[in-house]
Order: sequence, then C-alpha cells, then structure tokens
Amino acid sequence: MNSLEVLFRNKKLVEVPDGKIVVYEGHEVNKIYRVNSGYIKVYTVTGAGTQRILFMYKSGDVFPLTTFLSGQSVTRFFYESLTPTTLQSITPRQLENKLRNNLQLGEEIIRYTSYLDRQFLDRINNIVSNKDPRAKINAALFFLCNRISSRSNMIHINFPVNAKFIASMCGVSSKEASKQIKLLKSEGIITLNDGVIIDKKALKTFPLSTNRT
Amino acid sequence: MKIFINPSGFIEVHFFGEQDPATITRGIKTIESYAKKLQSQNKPILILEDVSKINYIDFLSPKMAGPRKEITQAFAEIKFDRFAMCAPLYLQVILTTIALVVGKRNQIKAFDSRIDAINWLLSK
Repeated sequence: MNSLEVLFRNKKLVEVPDGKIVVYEGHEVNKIYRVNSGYIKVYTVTGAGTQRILFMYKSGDVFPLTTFLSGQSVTRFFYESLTPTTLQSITPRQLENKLRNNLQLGEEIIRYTSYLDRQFLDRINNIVSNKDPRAKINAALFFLCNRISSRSNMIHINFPVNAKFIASMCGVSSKEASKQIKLLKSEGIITLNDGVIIDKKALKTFPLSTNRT
Repeated sequence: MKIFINPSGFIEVHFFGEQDPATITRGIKTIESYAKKLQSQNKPILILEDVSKINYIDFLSPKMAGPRKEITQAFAEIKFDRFAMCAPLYLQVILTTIALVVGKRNQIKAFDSRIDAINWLLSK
C-alpha cells in the first residue's frame, strides 16, 4: 500500500469488466488511475502480434504515474483489466493542483514511483537474463506472488494462471508453459482450487534445471 | 561539474560521477550566478542541464533532505524562462514532480535526448 490515497479521496469508483483496455500504448496521459480492487496487467505487443505481460498493478497501486512524470508523458504500454476491477481517477490538472507547494506529497510520489520502478526493472531483468524456460517461469511466478503478497507463503491468485497467461509473461511457447505448469502441479507447488494457489516457499526450493522433467 | 554559455545563448551545465549534498549546493549556486548574469544583460534565461552521466542518487535519503529543499527553492526562485534536463527516467520523475510542486510545469521539462531538449529550449 502507499499513501497516495489522499489524491483520490472522494473520487468516483468506476467498475471495469475483465479484459478492458484502460490505457492504450502511444497515448498522452490524460488520467491517472488508482486500483481500488482487482488487477491491471501491463503489456506490450511483440513483433509476432502476441502479448508480453511486463507488470501487474493491484489494489492501492497508481498508474501510469511514472509515465506521466517522465519527460514524454506518452504511454509506452497497454494497461488492461485482468479481473473485474474498480478504479478511481484524477486528471493531470487535478494532480498538479494537489502537488502545488506540497513538497511532502511530491516526496511521497517520488518514493512510490521509485518503489514501483525497482520492481519493474527486476521484472524486466528477469525476462531478459533468464534463458531457461523453467527459470523464466519461476521468476514470473515469484513476481506474481510478490506483487500479490510479500508476506504470505501460500499465495491465492483469483485469475486464471493458465499456460497462455504464463507464456505471455515469460515469452515461452504455450506448449512449454503447459509442460512446466503440469510439473509444478505434480510437485504440489501449484494447486488449482477456486483460482490458483502457489506455494511460494516450495517454489523457491524447486530445482531450476530443465533436465528434471 | 562544467558550466558555460552555449553558442546558442543558453546556460549549459554538465554533472558527472558521484554527487553529494555539497556538490549539489555548489552547482545550484553556480547556476544561480550565471542566471543573474544573463538577467542583468536582459537576455532570456534558458538552462540545459545534463545529468545523464552522474552516478545513482538516492534522492529520498536523509542526507539529501537539505538538497531537496534547496533544489525546490532554487527552481521556485531562479527566474529562468525554460529549464531542460537530460536525465535517466528516475531523475525525470523527480524533476517533473518538483516542477509541479513549484508550479512551473510549462517551464521545466525532462528529456531522454540532448537534441530534443535543445529543440524545446530554443522553440518559440
């Protein structure tokens, strides 16, 4: 959680069904959103026309704040609801008015964007540096677990973490993702039960060698 | 730090390597004195600051509390027409946030590229 709720106090809650693009790539930022409930995935479209999921926003997160505060103010990615989601929003002008003469709020915003940027960079580094499909999938599942809860060991995810989703997160084929999910299920690391439950502790100790199939 | 008047008439400042509160304070004072010089000559005060080659700065660390206030105050007080900064993303976010705090969003802008920065600085 962060202390930017103050920016969205008394703002209307808007319900967004799953699968709706909230922000399009290449557009000027004209609204800044806060996730009240649900999840938003951030993705780019590859040259092959497939989605590459880069990040995920959860309840309490604010987006696309870093983009708005960067020099360009033009979005680099798509932002789409992964589940039924409720959002609040403010305009850039409203943010400017709240920030004027308020260095303390400015520092809160810098702290929050820096916290998100670190997670984003870690995620990108994992996508780029891991060559092994299993290492990629492990890193992606860790990312999901840590985004959902950094404290708990058993992570309950209430959206479908299927082969297609994992393939989009990791840049592996759906076939490879399916094989790895089957293996993780057989090891008891992933359980399908009203969504997906991931045993984060077991995932951490799961061997990364692809020879173990 | 290097500072000079670019042949196009703007103040050009480059910071390199490790920066600490003392170097930041010194930098602000030098920029202020250059700005005053241009002001006394009735010339527009345009500033290009290149911080793309400095080491990472933990802007929110306690030791940076003083520089944070000084930078914000300097942006509020220096009577520049435009201030462009070439910087990595995290410093762009900091600069834009400070620009909003001091109410100078249209006069302060961050860029990835020097050419884009100069283009904006010199545009009508």
